[in-house]
Amino acid sequence: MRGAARAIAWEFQLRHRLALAGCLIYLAGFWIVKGLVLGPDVAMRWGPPNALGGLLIGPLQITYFFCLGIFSYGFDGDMGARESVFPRRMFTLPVSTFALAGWPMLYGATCAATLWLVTVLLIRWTGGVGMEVPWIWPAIMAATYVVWIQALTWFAYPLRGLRIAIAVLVLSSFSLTIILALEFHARESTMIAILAPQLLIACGLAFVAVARARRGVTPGWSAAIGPRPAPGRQALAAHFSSPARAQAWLEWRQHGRTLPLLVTYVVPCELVLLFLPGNDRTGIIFFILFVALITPPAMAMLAAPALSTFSTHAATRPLTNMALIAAKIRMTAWSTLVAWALVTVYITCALFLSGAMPVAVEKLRDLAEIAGSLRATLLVLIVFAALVLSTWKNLVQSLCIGLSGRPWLIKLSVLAALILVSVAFPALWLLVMNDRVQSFVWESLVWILAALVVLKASAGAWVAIRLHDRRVLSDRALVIGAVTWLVAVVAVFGLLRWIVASPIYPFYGLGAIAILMVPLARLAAAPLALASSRHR
Amino acid sequence: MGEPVVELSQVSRRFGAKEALSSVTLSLARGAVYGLVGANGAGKTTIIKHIMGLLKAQSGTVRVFGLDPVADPVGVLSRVGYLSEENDLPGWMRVDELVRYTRAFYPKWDDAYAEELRRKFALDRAAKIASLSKGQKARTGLLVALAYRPELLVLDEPSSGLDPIVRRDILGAVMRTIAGEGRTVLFSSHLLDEVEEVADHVTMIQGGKIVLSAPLAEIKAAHSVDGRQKTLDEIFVERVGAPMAEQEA
Repeated sequence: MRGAARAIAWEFQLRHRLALAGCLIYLAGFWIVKGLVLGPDVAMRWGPPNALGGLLIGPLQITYFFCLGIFSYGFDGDMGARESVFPRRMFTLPVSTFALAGWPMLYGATCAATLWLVTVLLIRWTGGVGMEVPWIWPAIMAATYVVWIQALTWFAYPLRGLRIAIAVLVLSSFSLTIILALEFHARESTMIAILAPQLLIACGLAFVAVARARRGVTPGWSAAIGPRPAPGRQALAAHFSSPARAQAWLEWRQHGRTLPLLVTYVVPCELVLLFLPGNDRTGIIFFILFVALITPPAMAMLAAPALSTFSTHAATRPLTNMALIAAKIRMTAWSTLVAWALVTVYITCALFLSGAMPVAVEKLRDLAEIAGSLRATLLVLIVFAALVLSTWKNLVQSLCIGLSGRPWLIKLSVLAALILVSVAFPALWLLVMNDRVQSFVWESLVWILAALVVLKASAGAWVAIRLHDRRVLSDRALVIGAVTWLVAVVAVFGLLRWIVASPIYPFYGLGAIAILMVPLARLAAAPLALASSRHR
Repeated sequence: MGEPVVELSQVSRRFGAKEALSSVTLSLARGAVYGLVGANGAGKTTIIKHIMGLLKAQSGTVRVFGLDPVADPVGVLSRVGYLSEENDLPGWMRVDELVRYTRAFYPKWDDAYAEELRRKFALDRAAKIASLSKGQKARTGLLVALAYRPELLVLDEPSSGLDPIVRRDILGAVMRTIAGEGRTVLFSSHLLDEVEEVADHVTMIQGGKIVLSAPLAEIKAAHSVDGRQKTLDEIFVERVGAPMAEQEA
């Protein structure tokens, strides 16, 4: 048993020693700079954190997210797959299932709890103020999150993509429980009483998951509904009219249904809230609708890495790189449209069946009275179109990452997204809560936008030069791409000018927003990534 | 003799510190079966991947039908049948669906021949590829690589997973038929007796370098002792210094 414990710990340590060393060096450096250089005069604040607080809490958050991926083996497998992500190679080890699942759980939970305790210690040592920092319950919460993620990741599911949807629902419910308890000013003992059973349940589920995976149990709904009927002679005799159509069919069958499936799992669960007693007030109804409407773009971000993968089998098809990309883009467009068609049906049904439709219609009438019927209709359509396009944009923008075929780049992009998320929330909080920050941002908005535009244009130019030099795209294709992008920017700019017809928003600011909204560099980099991956 | 079907000239390739290919020069003529032999890690798959355009030569040139497979993948791949060692056919497809999908890429696809091969390989058209055995997957891969009668058939370790009967009877027959029709076959293997049985020309590779490349008959004639022709295995030991099994170990 001890041998297994050591071997599993050694494997974690060996694979992630650089990240561990980086984290320890950062914390030591932070402590030295704060304690010895800045001294007690420069205070660290929480709720909202100041810059110093952000510099501590941001990297620790990232480390925590990284721990979730490491101890659940989530970085090693396909999270969208039906099969358990627990490494199969470990099933043949002469170790009991209890040890096989137990040690990673123990290490993950301990690591998460320790991370919190280190955070509290650093906050106290460096004289952090502005918030009471509890010791015990957040440590248990951090450990429970890890074990929940492990259980959800190690289970096998009957449908592809179901893991992600169930994870979103379970973890959202878990977070909601904590937020509600905090809203009601629950004491530490109450918080522990809420969390401890969850930790035990998650542990039990994780053991069951590994035991089932070790026995090769992968539930399949196809067995319950009988084998898929073999295609008829007519269907098989029907030829694809072109190789591009055949490739688009393959992409659709392989990846296209992932996003519609994800929204089918998640959106109805959100809309069920409309049927709960007391949820008939306008504010709550519109909040639930808002959550349901932003779900497809969010799910698209989750689905994108799985959609952008590329196999050797596809690489050996006699198709140009552009034709392969075009098939992927066509698939993402269909996937987006089907997902939104489903969301529209779900929302309409939920509004009718819950009796919330009159409230929604009343609000739309109010809007029509204020803005005029035509303008109100157009505004609703524009918002809908913007949501659809943002879903599609989230799907295609990751193509360049997945098509590169480099796992380290995919993992790095996940980490970068986590950094962005963990920095974005404190930054937004700071912006909302601090008037000085708000006025600073407003005054320097033009410069911020200009910097982002320059960054985007530079990246776009770099990609275009590479595409030209490597002859991935012809000159004609490059010119057509550039013109299409410009037309899209001008159209978005025209829309923005029409929607916000106010002198408060200068035209150059709207122009910059239009430039930032229309995908350029990452989308254009997709053929480049594919070329380098297909012909290494 | 016409233009070679495949021509590698001074091709070198490194993966980090490891030199996978070192100034490899190879030329395949039309209408013959070429066997590429060597231990695991010798560089066989690296050569094949260069021919398929899956790897870009770091130095030297690769030409297939006179075209650069990286610059013109459509021109090259539409004339090549390929069965990879990894056999990464989409597992979610059924055999029939794979046939329908693959057919779209090749105007010369021969439905009757595809059906004949399916029967010969005893493949169930409704079977899901993921549920097939390793050998059945290899046969499926072979079916879709052959059914459009490619001018060049590239098989990377085609024997892996195939039982000896299928290997000898089917694979051998297929290769001889193709060569008989004036098309070219390049196959890699570490089973020297199998190579000896079907190849017209043998290229031995060791540590990324070609140690011997000549027609099989010539090789055998040059390595006969007291009128007895040595086996390919014995010739390999003589050239490389150790038997294939030892090399792999």
